[in-house]
Parts: sequence; C-alpha cells; structure tokens
Amino acid sequence: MVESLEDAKRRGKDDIPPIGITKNIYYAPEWGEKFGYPINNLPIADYYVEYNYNHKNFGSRYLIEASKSNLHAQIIQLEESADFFKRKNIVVDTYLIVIDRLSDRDKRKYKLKDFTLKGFKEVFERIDYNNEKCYLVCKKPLFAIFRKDFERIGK
Amino acid sequence: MSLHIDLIKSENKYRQLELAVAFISFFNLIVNKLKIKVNGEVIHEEKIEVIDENKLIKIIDSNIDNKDSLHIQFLFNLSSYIGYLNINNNYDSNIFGDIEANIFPDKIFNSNINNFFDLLRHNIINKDNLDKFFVNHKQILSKAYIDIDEEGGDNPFDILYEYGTTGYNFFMKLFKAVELLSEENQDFLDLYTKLRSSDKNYFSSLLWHDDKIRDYAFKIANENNIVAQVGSFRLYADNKVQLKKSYKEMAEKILNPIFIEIPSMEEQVKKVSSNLPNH
Repeated sequence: MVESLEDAKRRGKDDIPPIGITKNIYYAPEWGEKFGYPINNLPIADYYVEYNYNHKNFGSRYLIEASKSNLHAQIIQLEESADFFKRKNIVVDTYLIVIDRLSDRDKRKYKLKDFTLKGFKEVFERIDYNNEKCYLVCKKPLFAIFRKDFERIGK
Repeated sequence: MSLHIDLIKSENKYRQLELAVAFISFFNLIVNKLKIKVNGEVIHEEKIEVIDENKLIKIIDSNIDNKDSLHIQFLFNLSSYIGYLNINNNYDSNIFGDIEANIFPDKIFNSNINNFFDLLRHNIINKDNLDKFFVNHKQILSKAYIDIDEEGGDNPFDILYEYGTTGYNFFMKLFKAVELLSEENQDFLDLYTKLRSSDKNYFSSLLWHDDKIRDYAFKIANENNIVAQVGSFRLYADNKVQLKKSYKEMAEKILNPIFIEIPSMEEQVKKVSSNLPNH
C-alpha cells in the first residue's frame, strides 16, 4: 500500500495540471482511509486535488483521472468515483481527464472542444450519427486536457 | 485493450444480453452494479448481486422505441480486479463492438493487471477458455478481439487476440500489414504497389483455400510464438513485436515470391501508353 502511494505521488507530478498552487492532494491509494472509498468494489479515479486558486469557472476542487490513452474507459472510471464523492457530499467543482492522446475509437465517439481556460477542452459525445451532446458527470460538464497542453493553461 | 465482441448483423439486443449474461456466468464475474442509458442519459442504476434477466428484458421491451440507443453496463469483480461489461447502443457498437469488456487499471495493489489483455497474459482468464466460450456461441458470433492501442480492429499489428468464426479474412489482414509496412519500409513498397492493383478478396480467398500456403503462414506465425489456427480462426500473440515480425515474414516468404515476376500495373500502363501513336 505504501509502495503504491509512493508510485501515485511520483505519477502525480506528471498528471496534475499546474493550474496553481495545490493546497491538498489526495491520492487514490489514500481514499479508502480518508474517505471510506470501497477500493475493492468501485473503479477509482486518480486524484482529488484542492488548489489555492479559485477559478471563476472551474472552482478549486478537482477530481482527476489520468492516463496515456483510452478516454472511453477513463470516463467510466471517473463517473463511478464522482458518484461516490457526491454521495459522501464531498464537493467537486470540476471533473477532469488528463490524457496524452485519443485512440482512433475515442476520436469516433468523442469530440473535444476548446474552452476558455487554455488547454482545457470540453468533452462531447456522439450519441448517434447526427447528434452530439456535452458529456455530463454528476450534471456538470466533463473536461479533458492533453499533457502537452499543461504549459498553455491560463496563458 | 478491451475485449470487443461483434455479433452477426441480424442479432438483436436480446441476443446481446443473452451472450453478455453467458459471459458473466462462464467467467464467474461477480456483478455489483447495473447502469442503463438511453440516448446517453442514465435511466436506471442499481447495485445488484445477481442479474435478473427477465427484469432486463422488461426494460428493453419498455424502451422499444429507443432500443437502438439502449446501453447496458455491468460493473463486475473478477478476483480482486474491477471491470465493466457494456452492451453498447447501436452507434457505439460500430466503434466499441456490440459487447465490450475491460478491466480498470489497478491503482492500489500494483498487480500489473491493468486491462483485459493482462488477464490473458497472466492467465487469470485462460485464453483456451476464452476460445471455448466463443466456440460455444459461434452461431451468433462474428468475431472477438483485443486491440492494444484501441485502433478499431483495422490495424493487424494491433490485435494480439482474435477469435473469428471463419479465417477467410486472414490474408486480408496480411495485405493490410503489407500496406502498413510499405509506409515505413521502402522494401515493401513494390510489393504493396502490385498488391494494390490485384483483386484482394479473390486473392485472399485463393491463398486461404490453398492448404499448403495457409499452413505455411500459420507455421511462420507459430515460429514467432503466435498461435494461429484454422477451424474457427484463433490468434494469440504475446506482444506486438512478435506479431509484426510474423506478418513481415509472411509477406516476404509468401507474397513476394508470388508477385516478384509480375510487373507492376504502373509499368504496364506506361508500356502500353508509350507504344500508342502520338497525335
């Protein structure tokens, strides 16, 4: 357990967007102890981050899922964690997926559209051949950011 | 690295449900949550311990107008791993397969099981058992496969596991491999140029129905530690390097000798053109 927490902290340096100074970072391996998260039964996102900076659109508390690829599976994972946080009344201002690339499948299913905070992209899903809609997690829009765009944030 | 399962086109949502439930039962997956979406909206969500198939059939029946956009998701446990099995709506079926199964990365115990292919690699799901499951359901199955980089099943270098009810398309995969090889290696460009101008379906069928050529192709695959068998078609490779090497050898040893004496279509067109009188 300690080993995986150390791993999570190491990965966090590449995964957590430099939006501002972080006040608290809660890593997935800690969630069982800190939040009562059922880690053996529920898919788990990577980080719950509280930033010092409170952005007018995005707030300061982020639930983050990070991976190299496969946006599709990451969304399912993030949704389950989001539901848990909601049930526990732990406030999340923004749901965010950090990614390196979209797979060919992801490109057919999802569309990422630019948003006001540079680097952040709003996730849309195609629901049939003619229609698409904003992907909502706990009734809030879902955002994604490519790691390569970290340096663009807020510029 | 999900498992994608395609059913034959005529099969409907009920048969997809039947296959998904059979899959869950065959591999002793412990389902713990059910989620149903219509047009992307969650219409039903509950924690469950056993699947009530009749209840699900009622939900399908009650959404008869929306059946094409019905999406059923089961979250499950397999040993200490957590995964999902999706019966996709019609639109997603074309992208992710009619049924899609995957394992979430293990973030807590560092078990090296991060996706469905890892289950096979580490024998948590035995690949012969997986084949056996598909053999049992071959009457409604088109194919099942795992592609590593989620490229959608079109890239033969990306598919490390495949079960197909027919191997008829095997050489089409080899042709696609030659196309991809020609993009990175000039040596394969000539071969691809010639191949491109042939009737690929006909040529593929010719090769597949020649027992000696088919067996030789599979022998090359086997020498690269890739299981490729006829009957129903099965393919399993441990990694992408071996798989690519295998296709490369097949192209060099089977396709090259066939095409080496055949002039390219481009050369033939130029030859005929140069012999035509000038205006």
